[in-house]
Amino acid sequence: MAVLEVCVKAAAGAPEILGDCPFCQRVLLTLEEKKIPYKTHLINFSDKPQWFLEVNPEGKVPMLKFDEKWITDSDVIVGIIEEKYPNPSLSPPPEISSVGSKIFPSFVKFLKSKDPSDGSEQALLNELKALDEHLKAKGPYVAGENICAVDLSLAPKLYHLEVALGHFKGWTVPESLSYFHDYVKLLFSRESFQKTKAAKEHVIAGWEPKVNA
Amino acid sequence: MEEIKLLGAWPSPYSYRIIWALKLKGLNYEYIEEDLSNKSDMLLQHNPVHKKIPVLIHDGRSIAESTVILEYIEETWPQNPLLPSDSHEKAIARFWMKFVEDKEQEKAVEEAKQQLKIVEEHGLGDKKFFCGNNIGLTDIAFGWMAVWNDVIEETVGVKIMEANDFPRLHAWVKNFKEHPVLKDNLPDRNEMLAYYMHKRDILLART
Repeated sequence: MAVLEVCVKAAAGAPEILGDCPFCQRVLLTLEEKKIPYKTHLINFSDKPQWFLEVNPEGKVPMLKFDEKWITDSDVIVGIIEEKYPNPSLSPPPEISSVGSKIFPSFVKFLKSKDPSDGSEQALLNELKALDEHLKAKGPYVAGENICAVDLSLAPKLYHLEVALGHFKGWTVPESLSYFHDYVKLLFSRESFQKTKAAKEHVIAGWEPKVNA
Repeated sequence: MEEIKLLGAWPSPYSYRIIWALKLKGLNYEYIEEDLSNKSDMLLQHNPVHKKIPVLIHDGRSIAESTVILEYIEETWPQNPLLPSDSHEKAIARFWMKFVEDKEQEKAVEEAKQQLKIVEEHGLGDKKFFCGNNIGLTDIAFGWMAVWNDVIEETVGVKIMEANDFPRLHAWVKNFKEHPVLKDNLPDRNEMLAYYMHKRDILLART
C-alpha cells in the first residue's frame, strides 16, 4: 500500500528536525493515532525546495499527497484522512466542534500584550476555565472517553500556550483548573504527541519575532 | 435541454448569491466545488481574467462576477422575476446592489455601523425585502449579511449589527432565512464557524 507523503515545517536553523507548526503537528497526530504509515518531507522555510513551490506556489504547510494530488489546509487534510481511513474514528460530534476554539486567539492576544491591564489575561483565563468546566462535566477528552479530532487540533496549540507564556511571561495556567491540567497531561503523554512535538526552543524561537515586534 | 453549471466554493457568499438566484428561478444546475488553493483547469479556462468563483457556464458559455451573473440569470430566465418591472424601482434596486459591492470592506467598527445605519434607514426602510414584499436580486446581494455577518462577528469577537440598533435589518435577516426557497440552501453555521475560526488561527500563528 502506498505510503502517504506529508510536507511539514522544519525547525528554523535546523532543517533536519521537525519544526513548531501546530497545524503540521495536528496532521501528524492524526496519522499517528490512526496508525497510517507516512513519510515526512521537512520543508526548510528559509530555502523552500523548488519542487515544493511548483506544486504549492504559496508555500503553505501542512501539505499531504493523496491520490497523486497535493492537498493543503489542515482542516481539509484531516477531513480527507478521516473519510479514507475511518478506523479508529476521530470524528467529533458536531456539538463539541467549537470547544476550546477561542483559546488560541486569546493566548496570542495575551502573549503579544504589553499592557497588563488590557484584560487579555482575564479573557484567556475565561476560555481556559470554560474548557476546564467542560472537561469536568464531559471529560476526560472533549468528547468523553475517547480522543477525537478536536483534541488533536487543540493539543499542539495548548503546547504552544504552555511553552510560550511560560518563557515570555513566566506565566502558567492556575493549578485550580485541575481538569485542564489533567487533560493536558493526558494529551502530552500520548505516544503520538511525544513523537510529533517540536522541541521547546523551536517553539520559543517561532514566537520570538511576534512577541518582540 | 440546456446545461447550467456553477463553479463555486462553499464558504463564499458570492457563490451563494448564484445558488440562491438559480433556486429562486427553479433552475436545475450542476454545482462544482472549487478548491481555491488548487484551481481547476475548468475555472482557469472559464475565468482567465480573474480566476475567481463564482462562474456560471450556460451551454458552454461562461459568465463571471456575481452581480453580472445575477443580471444574466434575471434576463435569461424571466420566470419568478427578481427585479421590479418599473424602471425607476429597478434603478433603486441596482443602486443598493452597487452600494453593497462598494461598501463591504469597512474595517473600522464605527464606520461599519454607519454603513449599516444607511442601509437600515434608506435601503430597507419599512419594507419586508429591499424591493417590497418579494425577494429580489438586492436581497441576494445583501445575503452575506443574513448569514455570514454573525459568524464573522463571533469569530472576531466584535458585535456590529446589534438587534436593538438595527431592528429592521434583523427582521430582514429573519425573513431572508425563513424564505421557503432559501431556507434549505443556507450554509451550515457550525461548519462556517469552524472554517472561519480555523482561518483566523492560521493568520494568528503567522503574523
